[in-house]
Amino acid sequence: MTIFGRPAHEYALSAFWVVASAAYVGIATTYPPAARALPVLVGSIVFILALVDLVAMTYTPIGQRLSTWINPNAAKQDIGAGTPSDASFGRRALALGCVGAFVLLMMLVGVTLAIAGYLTLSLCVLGDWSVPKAFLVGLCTAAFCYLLFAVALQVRLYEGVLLSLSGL
Amino acid sequence: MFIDWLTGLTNLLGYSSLIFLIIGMAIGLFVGVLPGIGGTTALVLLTPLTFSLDPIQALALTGGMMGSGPMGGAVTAILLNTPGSTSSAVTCLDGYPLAQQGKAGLAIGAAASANALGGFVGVLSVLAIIPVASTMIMLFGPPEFFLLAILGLVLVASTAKTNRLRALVSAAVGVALVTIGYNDVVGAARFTLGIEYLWDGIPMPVALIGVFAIAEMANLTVKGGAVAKADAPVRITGIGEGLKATLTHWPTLLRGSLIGTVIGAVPGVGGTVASFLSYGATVQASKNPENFGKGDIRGVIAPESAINAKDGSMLIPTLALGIPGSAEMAVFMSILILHGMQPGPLMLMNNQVEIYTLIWALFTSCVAASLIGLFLARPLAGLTRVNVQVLAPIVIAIALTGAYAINLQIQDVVLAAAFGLLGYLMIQYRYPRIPLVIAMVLGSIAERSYHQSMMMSGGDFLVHLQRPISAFLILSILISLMLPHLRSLRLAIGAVANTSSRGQDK
Repeated sequence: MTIFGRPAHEYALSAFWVVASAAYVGIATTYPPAARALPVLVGSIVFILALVDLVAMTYTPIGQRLSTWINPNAAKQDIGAGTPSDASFGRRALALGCVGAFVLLMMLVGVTLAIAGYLTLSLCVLGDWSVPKAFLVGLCTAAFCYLLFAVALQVRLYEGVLLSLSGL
Repeated sequence: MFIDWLTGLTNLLGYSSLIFLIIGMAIGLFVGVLPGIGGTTALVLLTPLTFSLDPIQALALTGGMMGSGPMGGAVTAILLNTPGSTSSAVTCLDGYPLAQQGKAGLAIGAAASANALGGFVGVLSVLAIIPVASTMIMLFGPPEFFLLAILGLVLVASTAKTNRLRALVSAAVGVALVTIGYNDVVGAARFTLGIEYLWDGIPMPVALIGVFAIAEMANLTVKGGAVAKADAPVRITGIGEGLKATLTHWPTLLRGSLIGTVIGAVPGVGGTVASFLSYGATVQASKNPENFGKGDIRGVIAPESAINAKDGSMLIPTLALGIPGSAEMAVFMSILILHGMQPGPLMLMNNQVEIYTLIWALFTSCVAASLIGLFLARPLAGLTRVNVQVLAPIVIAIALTGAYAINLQIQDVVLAAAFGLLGYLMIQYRYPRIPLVIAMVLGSIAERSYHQSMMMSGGDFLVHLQRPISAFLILSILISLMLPHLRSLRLAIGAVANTSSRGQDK
């Protein structure tokens, strides 16, 4: 689906800024005058600029004129450019999902085990490595991080909710 | 004074001091390379280790670490687009495109030499300024800090190459993010959404890890391959050319060093502002600003010279007035106090030898770290050719563990991942990320200074216009705002003149 000559999903982040800044200003107005001065000003600026960006992204005469005026030194092809990546949605979701899984693992089983698990998962899923090979790299990285943070820097690494509950 | 200066050098050349200097340098380089574990965290972790040392050894250790950290930060900024600290973020702008073009050696060579020479200028400035330091620092009050922060924000937008509007949105979002948490100047907790963790605001290193390390690695994972493009030359060359480039572009080096020196001496502003102002000034002074952001070597020299010059001059407010110029200096001040030195005017009288030992330690470490950086450039540049499917998860694992290590809070890891998602979306939608990070630093300075100025003046906004230095800053802001339009006007006039002269030739 296209809106004003551009795929609808390319407006997503600018539209998000418009909505988020409106909510931000809405919350800011409930604070005392001194506390809201900067947030209201900055939130309004984000709202207006993001709205202008939305208009400038459109392939309409107004949009094109606006973007040329805003970016007098930019090359024509760069003005109002949207998403550059041609990677599939699935691959992007996998890459980000692995990071999400790592954070979740860290919360559940602690830093060291999570690193071994994350490396294994990431190398198998995104790098097409065999499980034993990926697991070996995962173990080495976990050992390195343990030596670096827990031994050298004396940081008490997070043990995870599950290990804390089990009392190990 | 000259005797104290020499005694300081002799102290540093002692067997035990040299060993601690080398240990400090090794820690500084290592910590600088690790994204997110900045100099402040490393100094905090070093503090208990200095208990058992005598003051000279402690100063050699901490000076060595502070002087060599920027070189490590520059390496990751150039090779992985992941700055080791906020101040190195600007180096990514041109350093990383150079690495992608297979010119990592050139960029590292230039960064190393700019670091060493910038550090030299910084140390010289401390030696010259310390006697007149107090008078100089008094020129900057809250109104000037406010204007300096606004100038930084304007420069953020004016240096954006492809989309100035999106750079402004990023900067404004950065300022908005910094309003989250309890603010002691306005006496209120804002945008915490009932979450206790957010009362302390968003920790800068955590945001940095997310927006740069996580986002960049996720992006590389999606793209596949290696950091350096497939058609980039396989052999890492050009380290010597990097050195030569720094000397060829000596005005950039000198400008960066002077900006770093001046900004470093202003308490509470820090290296991020210094490196960004230096980069912005170089872009604006350039005859071909369109080259910046695409791999212009001056874009590496300008911030790197400012960062190390700032390290020397940052000692001025800390030692002369007892006002720490940054979080790192605040920790450093606590180390000085632990060893029986009281930073402030009295220290200038009673601890001259220790001050000069520290200055020598800083100078030696920044020059030595640059040399080590040059030797390590080839193996380090090889990192850009490692398959990202292997490199990215390892960097993400270290970075997120680093995010946890900062405050020992698991929430920091979740926040870093959230910032990683934001950073990734910003890459995808071509929103520049550096203005967001810079604005997070500048936003808090701007708000604090604005409220302090208003309190000082009883609510009179004209307080910002009353001193000559304010007038200079306002003029700089106006010029920065107008420059892109003036430049396009000049180009248009030039094009018209060319067309008419061609017409006459025919």
